[in-house]
Amino acid sequence: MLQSLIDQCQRGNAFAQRRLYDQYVHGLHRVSVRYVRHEPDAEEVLMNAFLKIFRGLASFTYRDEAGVEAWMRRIVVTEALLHLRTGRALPLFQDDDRAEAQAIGCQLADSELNAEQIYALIRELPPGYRTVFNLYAIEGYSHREIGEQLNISENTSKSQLSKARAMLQNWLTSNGYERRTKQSF
Amino acid sequence: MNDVQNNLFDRQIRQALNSLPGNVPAPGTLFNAAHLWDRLRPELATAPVVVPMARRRAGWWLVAATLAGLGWLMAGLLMWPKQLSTRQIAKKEVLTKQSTGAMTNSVVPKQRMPILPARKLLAQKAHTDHKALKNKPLSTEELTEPAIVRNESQAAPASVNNNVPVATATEPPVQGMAITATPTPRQVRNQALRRLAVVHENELQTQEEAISSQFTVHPPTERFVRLGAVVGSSVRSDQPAPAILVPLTRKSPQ
Repeated sequence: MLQSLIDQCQRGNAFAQRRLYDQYVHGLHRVSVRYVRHEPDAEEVLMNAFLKIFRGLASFTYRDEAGVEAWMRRIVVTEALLHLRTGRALPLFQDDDRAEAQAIGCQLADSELNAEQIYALIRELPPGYRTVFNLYAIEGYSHREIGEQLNISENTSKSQLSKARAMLQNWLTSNGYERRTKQSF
Repeated sequence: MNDVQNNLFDRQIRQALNSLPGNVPAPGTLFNAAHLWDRLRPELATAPVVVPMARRRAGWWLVAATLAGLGWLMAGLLMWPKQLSTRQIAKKEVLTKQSTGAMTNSVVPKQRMPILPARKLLAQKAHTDHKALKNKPLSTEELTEPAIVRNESQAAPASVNNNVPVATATEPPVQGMAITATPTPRQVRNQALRRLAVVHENELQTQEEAISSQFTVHPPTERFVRLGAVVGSSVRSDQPAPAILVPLTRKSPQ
């Protein structure tokens, strides 16, 4: 189904392009907003990403549906990082170091996780924290790759990641999530 | 917080985000997908379509094959008039050969000239030799039948028969002659003389030779057997006469 849709998109079928857009636009918009908090900027990132997606479909080789989604998502992330690099300087360093100290030994119960709340909390992170956390924890980038992408060192990336984790955990516990200690594992 | 706990926390966050519905807009956002598509569509229409290398190669092969086919087609079209002209020339040659062959073989049933001497001779023969022809009604078959056939006892040479246009059976009967009345030989002669035709000189000569050879009076050879040399050779005086013809009426002086 998806393969035939992509084949039609590769032939330039506008109807198929619209169907593919409708199928993935909201998920990719979530990804874009997770990196770029400002919504108009996120839409701009998403639009540029879709342009690259439709242009890149001609040389895309279909393997499976997950591969298609991962490829689109990677394009959106790359476009968002491009926007963050060129649009403004990333405030990667935060003065507040208390988050990491408070997050030591914290863990959340799986059953109590609300995806929409976590998504909203991630969007509230500072840009530097949010970008590094998204790249490392969600996209699976290594600290070396993050450093290359954001023009920062690996230690800076690690520091930003630990601070992002601590801040998230503090917010989650403050929002009523159960905090488990090391003995519970 | 050790790495295991960090990895577990990250996995929990990742799983939570992956569980978000992809076909529903994020809550708390003012995102309008249709509006973005309206902005995106003109860009897609003007955007150049990037063709992959494999398709480019296939396209180049297709273009090359098309050009080759067009080349062959043009070459065929350029060669076509020459072939046509040679065919036309050959056809014309065949036609001329056929026409000349018809002329040499004297298969000219539509020509009226070969009939003229035969009818003339027929009229003469009818006037002189056969008196009964005056009383006998003249039929169409007899008029169309050549006079050579009437003298069947005297067989003409084969070479002469091939050249003489005696095959007039296919010729339609002359309308003026297809009468049931009994015309006089004079009338037949007049009607035959009135008819004119253009005949090649060679054909006319051949016809005259054939007719003259048929109507020449040969010595009667019936009931006689020639044992010696032919007539032409007997003219020569150096050869002795055949001994069988010498009558033994008297004894030899020896």
